Amino acid sequence: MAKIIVVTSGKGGVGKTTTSAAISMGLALSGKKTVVIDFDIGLRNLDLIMDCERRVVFDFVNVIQGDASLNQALIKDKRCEKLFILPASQTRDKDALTKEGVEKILNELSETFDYIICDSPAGIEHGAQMALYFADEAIVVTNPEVSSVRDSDRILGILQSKSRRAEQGSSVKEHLLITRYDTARAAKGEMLSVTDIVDILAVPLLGVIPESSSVLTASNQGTPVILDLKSNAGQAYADAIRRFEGEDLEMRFIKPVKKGILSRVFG
Amino acid sequence: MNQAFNLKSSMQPVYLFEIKSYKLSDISEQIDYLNDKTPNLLANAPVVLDLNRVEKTLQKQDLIELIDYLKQQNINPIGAQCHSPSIKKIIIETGLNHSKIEKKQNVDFLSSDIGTRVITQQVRSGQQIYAANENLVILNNVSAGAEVIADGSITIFGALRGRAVAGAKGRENTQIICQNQHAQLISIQGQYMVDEQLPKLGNACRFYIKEDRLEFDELTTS
Ligand SMILES: Nc1ncnc2c1ncn2[C@@H]1O[C@H](COP(=O)(O)OP(=O)(O)OP(=O)(O)O)[C@@H](O)[C@H]1O
Ligand SMILES: [Mg+2]
Repeated sequence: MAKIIVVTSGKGGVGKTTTSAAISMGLALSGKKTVVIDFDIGLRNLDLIMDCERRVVFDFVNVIQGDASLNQALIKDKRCEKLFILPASQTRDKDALTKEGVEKILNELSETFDYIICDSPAGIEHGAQMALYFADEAIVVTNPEVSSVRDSDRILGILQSKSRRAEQGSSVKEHLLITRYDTARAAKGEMLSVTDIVDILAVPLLGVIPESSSVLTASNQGTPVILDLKSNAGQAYADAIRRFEGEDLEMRFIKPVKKGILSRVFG
Repeated sequence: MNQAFNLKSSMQPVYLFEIKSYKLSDISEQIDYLNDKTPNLLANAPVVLDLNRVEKTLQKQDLIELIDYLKQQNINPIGAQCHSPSIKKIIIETGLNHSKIEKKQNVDFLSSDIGTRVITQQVRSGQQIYAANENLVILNNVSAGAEVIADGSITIFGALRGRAVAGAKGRENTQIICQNQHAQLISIQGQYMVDEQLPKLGNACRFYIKEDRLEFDELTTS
């Protein structure tokens, strides 16, 4: 039985797809057979970040509609043999996702995978609800801004009332992942601090990913940033994976770095 | 860390002695009467003297005599309170603490003739809870963008960052109590407060209707 994890946020552009790519690669590298599903129908971009754009023949909607088998649609990652991608369709709209269709695919994947990562579209409407409905656990991605935190709070409310687990009287295990964290701006009070966000959302913190130019570089190259262990963001995602697997690690990259004299001169 | 002490609340009541006359003859008459009716009620009881009603005439010597008299009667004044700064000074000079205890109002903590609904989870943005014909007790936070409504009173043990509406259908004697005030709106019996009308952020507060106006007390312990 696979564990189903949704990566969700409410607000758009906060780093869900970046996180889905990093988390699925991280779990696969630690030996877990993992599939990452792009629920963002119409706006495919997980395949870009995973560098498999030109290998997409069939997609999620094709499988739901019975036009292709799962095996035909799953793309095996070139870097890690434990990782598979189920891409979204660029040509359909979100209504192509039905609860029954999604359930059938998740059940089938469940038989052979350890983890199923669902990359949710932005918003709180149909697409986002389909992505979270079957989840066992949720990674709620938040940026240190009031509007993003507010939307994450809404998504938590939906997880607690409209997910399958909620309907069955149990609950989805929640994790908070703060991304694009800028320590200098948080210290100046220009952005919410980690403490503020945890206070408001009251969800266990899985990790804090710093704002880092290496994220954009990585996504342009089609490498999940977790493979760039020289970057802070890559290390922070790697830490998050270890926490997810139960390790108790101190949060890094949450205090402003004092620039040394050399970096002040040369940096 | 090894715990050097435990904090426990005790159930012994602290009586507020609202002094209307500090003439010892008046006081002794009433204490004799009380001792007769309910022996031991006041034996060694810690009391706080409320001096607001006698602040205009009370002198330091009167207070000293009053304290001595009460001690002889086995009553234990641990503090006194008064709004007047000059009396506050006298209180401290006599060695008592200056304290601040709220008088119990006539409203119940929760309206006692209706039921109470208890919510344990955080109420999230976009969610609304309505306790129809009931009080509402929330053992968690109410997020910004969330709304909690009751026909009775509302008590919130976490932070209130959203909206709270009590006495929604106009029921009288309802109130809202919250542990950590960051509300977007407070409304009781149709009257409301927003923005800078609201008390200082972060304090514990009690909101209620007094003489047809929405008022609040900040429940600070200092
Ligand atoms: N830690 C980070 N540092 C800097 N840039 C980041 C970081 N995380 C994400 N980004 C950038 O933010 C943008 C949005 O990221 P991403 O596509 O992962 O967000 P999303 O939540 O999936 O968006 P959508 O809601 O559109 O699906 C991208 O340009 C990405 O490179
Ligand atoms: Mg995305």
